[in-house]
Amino acid sequence: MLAELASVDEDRRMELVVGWTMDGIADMRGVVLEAQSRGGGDASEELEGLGARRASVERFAAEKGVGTRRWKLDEKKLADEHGRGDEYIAFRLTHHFVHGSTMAVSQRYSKGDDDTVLVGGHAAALEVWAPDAGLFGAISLLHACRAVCRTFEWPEPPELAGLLARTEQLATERRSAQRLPD
Amino acid sequence: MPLESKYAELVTDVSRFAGTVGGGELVEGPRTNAEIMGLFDRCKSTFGAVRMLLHYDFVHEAVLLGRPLFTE
Repeated sequence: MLAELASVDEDRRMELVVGWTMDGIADMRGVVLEAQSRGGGDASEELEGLGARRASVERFAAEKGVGTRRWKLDEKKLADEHGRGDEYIAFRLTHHFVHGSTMAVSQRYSKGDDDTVLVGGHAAALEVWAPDAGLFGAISLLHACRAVCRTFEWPEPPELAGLLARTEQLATERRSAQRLPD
Repeated sequence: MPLESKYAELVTDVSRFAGTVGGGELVEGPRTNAEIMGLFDRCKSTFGAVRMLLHYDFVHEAVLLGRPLFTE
């Protein structure tokens, strides 16, 4: 997101943020309506608040002459456009940990010497994932730093390029030695 | 700790560096800039949590936080 926001002019940037905000408001409205339909009580006040927020965003957009079309993120497209397409698969893998798939759960145990399975503690696959978690996050954050510097026209700190190169070098070494765990 | 020192040092260096970016900056312009700064601040904070989780061996939980960091 931050890379996309940094790559466009100010009007388009405002439009994207407005679209992102509108998407969030629409989603929250759905949450509130669902809560109400599930017996959560009258949600008129919450809906009124969301309506007021939406109206405020629409007024802002009108003042600035930008659109209010919702911005639905497409991570694959954005990753390809901003030179991070090769990390998209890592992003897909993180979904498994977020949603608790059998792949993620299988990382919590390992086979013993005999016909047993050891669960948790030292049997969990931690070493294999730890460097990737650090590197994946580090690259994302460094790109975020670069993006905000570009957006707000701050001079990019000289250390940034070096840290990014160091991170990418370690990530390249990992990828060349890595395979998916059994 | 399952994180080798070369990775742990990098995570620490990146976290410290990111903390210096935008700190105390006065950002002017449209109110949408607040959303952008808020998003960036969330990235820094999320990575801080990754660092902490890795330090305490909550590795899978650290992996989980890579998802919003990539998106944002």
